[in-house]
Amino acid sequence: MISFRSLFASTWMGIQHDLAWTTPSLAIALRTVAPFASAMTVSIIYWFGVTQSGMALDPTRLAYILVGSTLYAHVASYAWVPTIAIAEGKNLSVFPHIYLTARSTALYVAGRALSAFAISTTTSLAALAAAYFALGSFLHTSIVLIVTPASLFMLAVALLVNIPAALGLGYFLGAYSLYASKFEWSLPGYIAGLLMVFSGALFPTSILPWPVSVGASYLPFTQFIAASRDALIYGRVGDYLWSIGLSALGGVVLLSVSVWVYFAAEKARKDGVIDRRLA
Amino acid sequence: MISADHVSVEVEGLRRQFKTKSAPVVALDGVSLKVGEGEIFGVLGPNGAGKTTMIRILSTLLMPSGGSAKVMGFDVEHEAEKVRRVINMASGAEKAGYDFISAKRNLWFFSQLYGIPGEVAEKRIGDLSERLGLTKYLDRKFYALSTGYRQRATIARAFVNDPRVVFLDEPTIGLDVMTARSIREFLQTEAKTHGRTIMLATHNMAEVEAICDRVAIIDKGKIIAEGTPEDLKRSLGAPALVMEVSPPPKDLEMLRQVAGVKGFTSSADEERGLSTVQVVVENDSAANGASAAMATAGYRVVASWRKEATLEEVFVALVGSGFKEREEEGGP
Repeated sequence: MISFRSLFASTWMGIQHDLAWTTPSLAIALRTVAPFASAMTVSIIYWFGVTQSGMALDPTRLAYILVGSTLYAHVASYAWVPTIAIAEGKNLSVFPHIYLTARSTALYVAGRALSAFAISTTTSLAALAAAYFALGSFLHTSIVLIVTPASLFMLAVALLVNIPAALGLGYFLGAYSLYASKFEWSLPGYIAGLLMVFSGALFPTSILPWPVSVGASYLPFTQFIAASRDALIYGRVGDYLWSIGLSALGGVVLLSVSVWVYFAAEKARKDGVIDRRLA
Repeated sequence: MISADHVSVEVEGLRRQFKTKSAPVVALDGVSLKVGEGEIFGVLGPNGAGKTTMIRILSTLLMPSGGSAKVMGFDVEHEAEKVRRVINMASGAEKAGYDFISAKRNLWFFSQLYGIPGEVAEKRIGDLSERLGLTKYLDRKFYALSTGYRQRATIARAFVNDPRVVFLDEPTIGLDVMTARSIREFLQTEAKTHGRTIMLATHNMAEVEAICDRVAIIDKGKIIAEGTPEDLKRSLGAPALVMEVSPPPKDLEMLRQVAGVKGFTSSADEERGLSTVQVVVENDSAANGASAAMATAGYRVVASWRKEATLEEVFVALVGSGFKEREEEGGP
């Protein structure tokens, strides 16, 4: 019960913290701008490259980029929240007091990640829909997307299955944030850049050199994006289930390792960096 | 003497060393003390004396490098989770709340992290707010609260989980007199009526004298005196000598040569072109000797009087200089 209360309160706090600085609708609208802009940008770059080289625009490839970029933005905007929540909490002096509550900060971190998941799911899907219509009218082409109750259900399942992996990455980076007294703000940015390359967000991981391509193809995030594409673009149920399975398995492994790493950061207490004071 | 059954905080040979780029810094150097249940215990010392380090260790934010510390019988190093269930802490220097959330919701959030049922939490928040004069401002966002009301909210947070021991680090720093007084009254009620132990780290001597049952004076990581404020002041014997001296002396070392002078502290008043020198003396002849030494050194004693000892004089008598001089020397 105490764990549920902590988790619920932390999720609530995360939503308030992210949206309460202005009206919720405006906050959501503003948060949609970044994934929308990134989806538009990469899609237009693709269109420009293709038309300049005299090739025909492939609507399926365009959908591939559109889905990949918005779902990458979705993962990017919530997997980093634990790191930011800890770093910002240290800065505000709130974190040491959360640390002192009888429950572990891991529940707080999970709650903040769940709130960010809810917000970023809303904004990413809104960005996907907006970019779909904007690109369709701008490029005068019909982008191939399967939008049926079944495909949307499959997408929803993929989003949910990806939570353990995103939370795992969050704990992993959060452990650094817990322990560190510098760079904790910028670390997510470095990892985000790497994930864009290795998650198959914009191009297939198979074009990466061996063995990086093999490692990248088994990342839970790569499988999550692949499953979402199977649901929304290709309609391949068998491939979808395979990717969902790998995503879930990878997520559980990543989450287990990350939780272990997070608790190992108890060293932070020894070094006195929980409240950022070094003496 | 506190009976073993009623000890809330027990510290034995507590030591904490910090690594720095130049050389290790010893912030606490073998501190031992006991605090009884329902007691308001002050830890008084200049900035850098080790007060905050001690509070951080006792509240499980920091591990000790040596020695041991127990809170309500639980070891802070090895039973940190158990300690956290019976304590809370607050610091006056920190803004420990989320800016865009109301004071009430900030308090509710922390109550939930402690697993307090909703209705109990609402009632407790209401009660604490009323007693701290915060009720009217509960719905204001944290950033919109004045320093005083933000601090009242921070104090309320430190009691929201019904803790047995509360650690407070400079809880009234930077507050106006009225707010500071109301927070002190609240703390006294919490200790006397609810039997909570309050450990208060401060460099505010008036605060210690006003509310602390006992006090430990700490300097350079060591406890140099412990007792009730009254006992410590009484131990000085003679009243202190205060002199207004012109021009402001650059050096007061000549006072150290006077027999019976235990220590001194001074503050310059540039507007009036003089210094107020406070000398802790053993007896009246030492006071006369100190006046004469100033005159011999070429300074004019514009006015002088004797005053009852405060805890600052106790500190001066023990280390030879005041808080200000000690802070300028650089603490650990």
